[in-house]
Amino acid sequence: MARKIKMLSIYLVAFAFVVASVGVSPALGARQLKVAAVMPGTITDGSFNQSCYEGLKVIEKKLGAQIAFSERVSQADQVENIIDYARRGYDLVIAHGGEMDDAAMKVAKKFPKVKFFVTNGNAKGPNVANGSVNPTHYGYVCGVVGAKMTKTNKLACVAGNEFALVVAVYESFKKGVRDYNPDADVGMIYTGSWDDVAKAKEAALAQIAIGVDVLFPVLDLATLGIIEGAREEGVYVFGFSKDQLDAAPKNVLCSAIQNYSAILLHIAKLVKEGKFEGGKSYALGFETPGVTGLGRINKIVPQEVRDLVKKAEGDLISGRIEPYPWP
Amino acid sequence: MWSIVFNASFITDFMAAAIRMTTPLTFAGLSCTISERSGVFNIGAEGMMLSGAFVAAVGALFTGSAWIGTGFACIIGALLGLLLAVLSITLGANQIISGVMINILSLGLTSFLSRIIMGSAITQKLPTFETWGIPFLLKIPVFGEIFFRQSPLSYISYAIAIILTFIFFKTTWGLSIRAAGENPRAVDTAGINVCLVRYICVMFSGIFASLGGAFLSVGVVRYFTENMSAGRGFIGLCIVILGKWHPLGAVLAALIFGAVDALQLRLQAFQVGIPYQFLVMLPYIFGFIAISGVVGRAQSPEAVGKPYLKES
Repeated sequence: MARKIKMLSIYLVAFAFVVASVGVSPALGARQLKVAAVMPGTITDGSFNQSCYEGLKVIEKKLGAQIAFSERVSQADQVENIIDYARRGYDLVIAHGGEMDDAAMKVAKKFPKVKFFVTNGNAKGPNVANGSVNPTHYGYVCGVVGAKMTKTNKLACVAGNEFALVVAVYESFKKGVRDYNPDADVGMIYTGSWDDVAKAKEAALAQIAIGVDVLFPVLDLATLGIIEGAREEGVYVFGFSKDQLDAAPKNVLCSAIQNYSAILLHIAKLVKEGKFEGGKSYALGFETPGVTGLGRINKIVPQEVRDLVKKAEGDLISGRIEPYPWP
Repeated sequence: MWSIVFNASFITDFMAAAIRMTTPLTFAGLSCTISERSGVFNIGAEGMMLSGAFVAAVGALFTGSAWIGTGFACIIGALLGLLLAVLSITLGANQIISGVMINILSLGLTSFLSRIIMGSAITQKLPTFETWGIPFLLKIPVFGEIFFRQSPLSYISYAIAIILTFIFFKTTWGLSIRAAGENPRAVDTAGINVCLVRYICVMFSGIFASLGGAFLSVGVVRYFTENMSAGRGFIGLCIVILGKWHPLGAVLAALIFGAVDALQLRLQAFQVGIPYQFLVMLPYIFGFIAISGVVGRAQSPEAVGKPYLKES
């Protein structure tokens, strides 16, 4: 008899937990947050995927969350991986990369209580959101620095291929330059490759040959080719994605930092607090600490330019300036 | 714009860039020329180039000398050539598949090892080749600055082309090589070891490809980055056809690719308003037109791609 009562009480407690968990949702209350990420590449790639992994680690530490991840997930395995985490009761599943848009949408319909977030994607739904580092923010501020540092009034971007994000960076950079130096001209070269460093360097040299003295790379590994071209010819250049001041300490003015780990932490916090909004495109910039910035600014950049940067950041945060429509 | 274009310094800059962009393609073209002349397709030139770039970077990083790095690159090129030779000549494996295997192997291994050995690319400060100005010749107006102020590896590529031309068409070795690609049975009948000839040619093919890679990592940029060869080895296959299996033809064909590529980058810099997609593919359009018979019918070596078996 005593055993039966004991069993009954266990059932009751379990039942209470189930009711409680349904009742408490969407805010999680005291229960541990569970966050999983599905990544297309390896967590040691030194850029996009690694920042996702670092983001998970920060979420684990700061939010006390339980984390899990899958790396090197191919197109064919996306749905399988995302559905697995949703089924195992994760609160937030991060699909890291716009190529997972469709997979995330597909799974989200079947798991309305789980939140899905697609990095750099377009996916939207009642429980799906996407987000990116706001390219207009870092583009504009680098433009302000370039506008004041050019002597020839010729600046240029180099990118791999044209797509929405690249255009947003370029137009915002141009706007930043023009707002602070109306006489300056901003060119653009597409090399057709994000990783071909040698070709990127030639593109930089071609720009420098016609008088360009500030270069803004919008590239992956090939960014180093632009920096090398600038170093060799003694012109100014920006780092891209990470702080690249060390690559050419005399030439790199500052870097257009994009920190995806800070974005993921921000999203996980929203989920924990029950403030996550499905159907939204989060574009995070200077208003969210740690997401973007200029890294270490070269000591050759004078104080008045740094003050202008501060002012421009303020304008962007307040929304007084919107360099380009995004997203 | 036109005032800038017809300016002597613009032309000098453009031609110098064209030659810089040509050099790795020349090496790729020579690499494929020597192997196909002997009867073996080297699809693996791309991977050999990438491995060459990596090993040259590692060698230069640890010894502090771009020359020693390049020497190491030649060794790895020869070894990969040997691997291709064993697979495709001795074991009679499909030459295309063996080459593709070398490409995949090289891409994976160099990416993996570069992360372990070199860490983030940004921390590398590789020693590089300084450009060499050749005395006297440098004084020639306009042309001197264009052709005689280049990286030593560019001069080496021309030297190899000239030496190969001499060997192919003026020596009995060259006759054996060409015959091994055209009619291996005849070579065998004459008492020459077809396999040995092909082994040597494929190993040199690897060396040339890896020199092209070394030019990229320690000649052009001071970094090794993953997949930095970016398809140049494959363009080598096209250059062979365009150059009609002649070493000097390969140099000219590579020069066309390099010059058109340098030109399209400058057209973009001038903001001429042509869609960039068209400009980026310009070199390939030229290659396509050239291969499709404008330069005259090209005849490939008769026995290329076929393993030589004594019994059959």
